[in-house]
Amino acid sequence: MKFFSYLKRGKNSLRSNKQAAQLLQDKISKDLNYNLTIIEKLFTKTPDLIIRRFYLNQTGQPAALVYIEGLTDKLAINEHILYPLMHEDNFGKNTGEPAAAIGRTKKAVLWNDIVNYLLMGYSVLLIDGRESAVLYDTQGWPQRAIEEPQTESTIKGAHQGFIETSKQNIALIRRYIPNRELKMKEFIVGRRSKTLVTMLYLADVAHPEVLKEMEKRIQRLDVDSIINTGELAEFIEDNSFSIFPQFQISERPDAVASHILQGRCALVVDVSPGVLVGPMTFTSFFQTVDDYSTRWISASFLRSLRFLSLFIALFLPSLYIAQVSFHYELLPLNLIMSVGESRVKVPLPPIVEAFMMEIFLEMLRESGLRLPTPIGQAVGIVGGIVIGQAAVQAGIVSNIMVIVVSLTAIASFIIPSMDMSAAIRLLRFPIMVLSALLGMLGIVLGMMAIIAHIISLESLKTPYGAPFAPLKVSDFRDTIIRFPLWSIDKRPFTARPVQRKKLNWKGKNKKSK
Amino acid sequence: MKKILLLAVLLSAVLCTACAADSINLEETSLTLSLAMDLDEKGNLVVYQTNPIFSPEAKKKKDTLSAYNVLSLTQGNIVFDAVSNGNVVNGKTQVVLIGKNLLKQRNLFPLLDTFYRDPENAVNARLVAVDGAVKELMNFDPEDKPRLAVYLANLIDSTHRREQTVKTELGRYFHQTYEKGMTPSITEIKKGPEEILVTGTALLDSSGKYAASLNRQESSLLLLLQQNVEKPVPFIFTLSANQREGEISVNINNVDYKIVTDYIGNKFYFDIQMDMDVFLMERNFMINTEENLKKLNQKIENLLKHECEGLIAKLKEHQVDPIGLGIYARGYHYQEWKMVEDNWGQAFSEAEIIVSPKVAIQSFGVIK
Repeated sequence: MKFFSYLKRGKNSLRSNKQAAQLLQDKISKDLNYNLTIIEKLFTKTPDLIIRRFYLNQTGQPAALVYIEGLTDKLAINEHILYPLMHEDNFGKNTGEPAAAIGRTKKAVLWNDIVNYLLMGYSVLLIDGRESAVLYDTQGWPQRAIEEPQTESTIKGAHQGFIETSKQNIALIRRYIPNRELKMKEFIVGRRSKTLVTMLYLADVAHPEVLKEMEKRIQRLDVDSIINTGELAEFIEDNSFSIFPQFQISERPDAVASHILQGRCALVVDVSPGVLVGPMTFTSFFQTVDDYSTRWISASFLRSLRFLSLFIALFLPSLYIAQVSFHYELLPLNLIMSVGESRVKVPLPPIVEAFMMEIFLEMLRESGLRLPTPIGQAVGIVGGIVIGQAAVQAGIVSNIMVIVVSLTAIASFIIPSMDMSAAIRLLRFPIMVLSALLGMLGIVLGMMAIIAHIISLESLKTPYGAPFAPLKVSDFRDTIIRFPLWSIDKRPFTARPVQRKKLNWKGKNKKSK
Repeated sequence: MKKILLLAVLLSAVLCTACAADSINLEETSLTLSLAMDLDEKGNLVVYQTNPIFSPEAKKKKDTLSAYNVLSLTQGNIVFDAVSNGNVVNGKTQVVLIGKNLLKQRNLFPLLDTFYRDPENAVNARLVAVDGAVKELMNFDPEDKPRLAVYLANLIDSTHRREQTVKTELGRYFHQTYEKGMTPSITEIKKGPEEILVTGTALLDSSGKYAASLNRQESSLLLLLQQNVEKPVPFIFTLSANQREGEISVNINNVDYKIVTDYIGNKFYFDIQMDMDVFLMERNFMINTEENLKKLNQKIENLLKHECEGLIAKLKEHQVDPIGLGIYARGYHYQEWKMVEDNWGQAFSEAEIIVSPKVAIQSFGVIK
């Protein structure tokens, strides 16, 4: 055992992790050399840990600056910490503190704090003869430029997207809500990952119960690490056996800001560009930010199109199966003839035909997803030709089936939320089985089961089926049809805002005489 | 609890697999598109059926099946199942053809019972009487026409759209039979040497047997009196036999009805008042239409009245009431109706019926 530990941690290391844990509870000592040996013991085999020894220019005390290269901003360390301390002589003019030109500084006594901050990109200044260390915020790691998120692009909205640093993300949200009431609560989640999760809400709008519930769920978490917002969502959602997403995860600051303004709360997870928003309802997954920036009539049309495509994506293949094997009467005679003529060449029963094509489509979609764009296009072309032409000519599927499959594919792509779209794509398979067994009756049973599930589902103890169940007529102004903005004078009930009114409309501007 | 739930779901899933026995894939059916019934020389019931052939290997697109000497439609279906390529399904039947011989000898309604009793059968198939041999018509396969059932359906629909014949679906026939205040009327067709033509309307009496036939112009009048016109009704009138006036074609539109009923001296009395707009479509003689407007109105009114009363005389002769005046009798004179309820045909024939059309020519067309 010892030998392996030696191999893994290096020869200067503490003998066990337990010993280290004990040490971390201790305070630092006055002796700089002793402190540095402890740091070296704690961070064996850590070549990116930099320890810079120097003498403070004014007092001549030996000191050391400890930081991790790569997590820190080199320029800030060199010019704003090391240079003033080594060459300037205004040390302690007023405060008796080392005069580094860094805004955010902290004092730490415990080894535990020092180690944590060190790993977060802070620089630690240890001075001989002092029993506390100074921590400088020199965070600066490689990060992506702000660009438009690929999955949530918009035509008329803002083109900014979140990145992987929560500080920046919060700033992006704050740009939309420069208000004192925008409050934040910070949590550290994950024993090892120590991920910073920030809860954002409007203190005078958000419902305290919702906030309390969210807080409770985050605090209850005891996990090793959180890498992505999706992971966090799965830990804190109401029903993890449901196929429907209960939180929206968005990469758009404008979308998140508008949710916060309606009274919802948002979780910004450091290291993930996705921001989690809750409580959500089923219908809110069919809305986009663009709905509010286009004219209300066309926005309403697009919204109703999305709900129509929800039904097409869910039920069209099952309808095809039910029609072809149970209820021919429902089809017009001419359609029966052409369906019959193309079906008769197909050796498979409709359910197998439909399953095959739908699964093929899913494979095509998934295979194109992770390929570089030029190859992805090639996959599309191959798939298109195979589905569209060859399969029909070879007599494996009927050409009506090809139309059905492509229509469902298009319809499922219209749904703006990726999570919701995935849920609906998956749900259509059980309904296809039901329709093959029971025909239209099966489809109706499936529909009933889905509706019952949506009604019973909750998101942060807020009804998921609202505004339909429970019925809130006032929310219909912004559900399937978006009324003109001036008529939506209240925040949606579904977000449970404490303050409902959001605008005063005194009629249109009259012409002055 | 969870195990019980899982077990319930699995059990119901297993049970569901039995349900699929109900399904027959479309291409495995022998989908009845037209169905026909007639009597053979010996007076036995014969049932015919046509169904589409989907297979690209078959040369013909239509298959005609016949079942001789059967007792009912259902038995016919069993025979069809035995001889056809797939299972007989009646859900998409377009036309039900009945031979005139059959209509004359047997009550039609009980023969169609299975259509109403089995919900999988179509009740919107068009009910048609055939003047002549049904067998010949069912085997008719013209090269320049779509398949027989589609051809017949289109034929009947387009003729009805011109208001030249009634269109009675099985469902409507059910109503016409059960309604004591009227007698059924169905489309009548005839197979010519080269084509099939709609000859007009066949009238059935209250016992469901054939009573009389109407030609196409009479059928239009019947539709007009039935208040069953949706599109302009074309009429051709011969104004007078002399040289200066000849034929005139009009479209009758926007008819407002008022039916005055009374019961005088053991007789029902009906006055069918029709207020109609007329559009002149064609005239084959010279007349100054604008100057003679009143005269023309008057003449058309008289001719229309004359023809309607001719039709009513014919209906009275056969004691049939396809117009449905019995419904008015019941509505306005219930006590008296109650007495003749089961014998309305006779009461209708004794009733006094006056038709008073009021014609207003609205347009002479775009030329003078």
